[in-house]
Amino acid sequence: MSSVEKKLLEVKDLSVQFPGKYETVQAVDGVSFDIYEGETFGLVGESGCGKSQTMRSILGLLKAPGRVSGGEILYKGQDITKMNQRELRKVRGREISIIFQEPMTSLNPVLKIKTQIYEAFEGAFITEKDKDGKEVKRKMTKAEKHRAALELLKLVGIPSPETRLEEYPHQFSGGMRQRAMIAIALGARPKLLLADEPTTALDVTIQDQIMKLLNRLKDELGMSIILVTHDLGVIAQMCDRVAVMYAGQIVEMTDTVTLFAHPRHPYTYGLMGSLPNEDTAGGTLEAIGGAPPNLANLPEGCPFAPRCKYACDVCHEKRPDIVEVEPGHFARCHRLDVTSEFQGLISPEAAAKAKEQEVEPNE
Amino acid sequence: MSDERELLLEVEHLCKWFPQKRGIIDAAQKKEKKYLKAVNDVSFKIYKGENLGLVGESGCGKSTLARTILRLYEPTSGTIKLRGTDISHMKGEALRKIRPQMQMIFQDPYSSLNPRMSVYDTVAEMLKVHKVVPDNEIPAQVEKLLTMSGLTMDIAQRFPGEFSGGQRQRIGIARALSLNPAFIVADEPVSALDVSIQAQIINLLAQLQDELDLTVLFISHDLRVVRHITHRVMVMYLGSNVEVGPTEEIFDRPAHPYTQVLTKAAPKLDPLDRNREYAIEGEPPSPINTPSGCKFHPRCPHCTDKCRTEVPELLEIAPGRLCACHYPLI
Amino acid sequence: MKRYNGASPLQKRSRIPGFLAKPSLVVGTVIVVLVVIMAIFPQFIAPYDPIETNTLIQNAAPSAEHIFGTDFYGRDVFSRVVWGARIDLLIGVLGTVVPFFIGGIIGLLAGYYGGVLDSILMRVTDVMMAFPFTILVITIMAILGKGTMNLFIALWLVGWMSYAKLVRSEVLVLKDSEFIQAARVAGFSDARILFRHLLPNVISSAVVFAASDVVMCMLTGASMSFLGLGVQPPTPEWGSILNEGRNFITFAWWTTFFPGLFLAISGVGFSLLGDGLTDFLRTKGR
Repeated sequence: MSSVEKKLLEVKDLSVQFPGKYETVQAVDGVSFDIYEGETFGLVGESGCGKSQTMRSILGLLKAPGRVSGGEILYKGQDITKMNQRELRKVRGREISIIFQEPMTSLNPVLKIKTQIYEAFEGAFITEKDKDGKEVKRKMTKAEKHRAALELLKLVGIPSPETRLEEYPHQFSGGMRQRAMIAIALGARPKLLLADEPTTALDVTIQDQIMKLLNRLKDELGMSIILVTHDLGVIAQMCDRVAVMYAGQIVEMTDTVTLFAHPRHPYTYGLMGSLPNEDTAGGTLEAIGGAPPNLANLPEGCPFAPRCKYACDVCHEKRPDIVEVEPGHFARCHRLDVTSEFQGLISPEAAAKAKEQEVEPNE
Repeated sequence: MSDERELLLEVEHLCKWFPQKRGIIDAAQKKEKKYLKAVNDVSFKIYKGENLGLVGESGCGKSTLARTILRLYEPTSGTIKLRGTDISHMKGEALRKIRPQMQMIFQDPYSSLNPRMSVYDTVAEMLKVHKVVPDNEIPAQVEKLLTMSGLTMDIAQRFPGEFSGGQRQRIGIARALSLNPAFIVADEPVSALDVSIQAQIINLLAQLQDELDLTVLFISHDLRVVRHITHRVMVMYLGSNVEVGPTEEIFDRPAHPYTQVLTKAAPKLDPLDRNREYAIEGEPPSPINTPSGCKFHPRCPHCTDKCRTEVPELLEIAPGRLCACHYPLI
Repeated sequence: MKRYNGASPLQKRSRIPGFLAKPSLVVGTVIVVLVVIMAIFPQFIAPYDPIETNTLIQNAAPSAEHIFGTDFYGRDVFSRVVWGARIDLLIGVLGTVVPFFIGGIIGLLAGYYGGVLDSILMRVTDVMMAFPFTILVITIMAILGKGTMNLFIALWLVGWMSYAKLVRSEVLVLKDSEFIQAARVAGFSDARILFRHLLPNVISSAVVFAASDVVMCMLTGASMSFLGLGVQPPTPEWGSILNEGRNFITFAWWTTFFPGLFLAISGVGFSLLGDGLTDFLRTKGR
């Protein structure tokens, strides 16, 4: 990453616990990553790997009894985990917004779309100069909200926005609801959009539309996106950088092209092998055996060791640390010597060529 | 190629319409009763030992079609023939007798098992009720079925709530196989599972199909999975099948514009290939008020006046390939 | 295969600690057990014959010999209260169990098959539920005449509806679930699907309701007897004891206080048991 890019969000050694009656579940365990301005960062992993909890803790939205048990989340230098409710509200919706997987349940069914979008503008202020030339902030008027709402619906590609504003969520189809949800999230022009499986509940053709929409909006509005998904295809199509999570930890983190060309963690490699593609038809998939571990009762060594083909004695005894295998490429594995042989889903030559082209304009 | 094989299931002009509730005012005005045409004039054949994929977007009627074939629903019209026997309007005891020949693997491994029955009871009940094996051989048979599905006998006394999604799906598979069915419907059997578990179940299904010479109707919205596991594919749009043909051919050279869109829409696993041109605008219309003519015409990039008025028939456009389009792409 | 031993967080735990961890369940159970013991073995607990009169000790205050005092006829109130537990519990239990079965089966059938049976059931219950429970029972008693058997019949005629409604609504939720579809695909008979697959999954809320319904029936039974409609004197029953003591409440409070107290305590006991059972079944379920 070039030094020009500014850090927007820093997550440092974040841990999230769910204390229970019988056992405490360590949902997130020492997760660290940075988000730069204008990038899309993907968190990928299977259910229960802690990707959603990581993202929820950024907005202070952990469901009870979950709590941040360690680490810090710095947004523009301020620690979100230490904020009180008032300070959090200033960040939520205005600086950081969130869209969820279920467009059916994340819109309020008894309020018109109009009302729900107007609410999003509560956090947005208009700055103008008064008589003395001093800058003052004021809230938006109803007419301004209406105009802005229309603009938003057009921006997210909802046809005939005038009539759509007056409708209720149940009159919208799944794809349209997700678009409306995105419009609401963008109401206050956030710097950072958190997207929790935004396309999972949608059909492929609609998923394609929403992915393209998010990509376009990111460029037009210059925001950053943290995208949580279980689908490597969505990662490939949307993200600049990716972190792969397993059992509450980041096991691999790098830019998307490198990840698809040179995966260095056996889990990432296994995930790629698990996906059917054009060449596997009729054959057998390289499935990862077993099931993800119980987070309340993790194995002694590397949590992935029981399912790992390459595990040796040290893997079952000691937890590996995350190391930088190449500049900007981190992996958490004892067997990095073996994993350097991994061949990803795209050819290394194509990846290298793409990287060269990407670097040139900057120089 | 297809005629030499044994025809297992033949579906002809099958319709399943769900009547919509009319308001009192509508009824008083004698407005026409509306139907949700979930399945509308679908015809196809399945041959012994093949895996036919059924794809389409949600609400296109794939699940209703499967459940109508399995006679969980009474068909509105049309016929379903299993090995030449018309089962479309069978009832009571006769239907119960024929049911073991057609089994189903469900999508949701969390709701498809009775939470109050142990794994052993779930599988053994099937064997017992239909007297598949003598009573004293039931334990051995249960063990065989569980082993076949990648489970062990030591979990047999446990209840579904104690298992992960992948294991439950294996239990569901063991249950479906217990009656030695001639035909299995797999309704999105892997879409509720995590990627790594998905691969295990896909491999298991493929292996079992080979070993037992099963005939499978494989329903999925995930085209990567369908391409991997099926021999032929049937594409549904708004209740009708718009294209049928061998899997590889359909994916390489789709004939129906909708198939083309569908095959290209799945996110490609290549970060270097992001700007694919096969985007499609709009969303499927409601199956209650379907468009005139070709139902796909409002979204079709090649639409003409003929498409707006004339309903295209499902015709053989090349050997083994059927397509319902006025202007097929091949 | 070792790899399938990955334990899920919902591992089954020992049942006993879970049971003891719910105080309401424990207290409720203790009270109910005591009442049941009283009802089964009154002859070992009660020191006197409950219907033997003794005009020498009318309305005697509680003392060492008669710890709850005596009533107008000189009968030992403690003995009458103990013997009363039998008939009151019988009203509570029989008034619940019979409707539980009848209502449960009707609800199961109506929910699963729908159609005309369901429509009739819903209309009948809608009409009957428009009236308060007690009023309905009184009305039926008024038609049938007084007496213990008629009290039971009235309770049964009114009680089954709640169970039918409860079970029906649960069946409606579950009958389209995939495991019921799986049972149909398997070619199981309707009887097997209804009783082996549906029933165990829909019955828990009816069981919980039954625990609190016992209280309702006991109280209704007592009220009817208090009004002189149900159990007839001299049979000891808490409601009728209350009724008999009513006239002397200003100077012989013990004749009404103790049966009332026992009625209240056993009511609380069954309620606690019901509440505890709700939690218990909920944590055990999915």
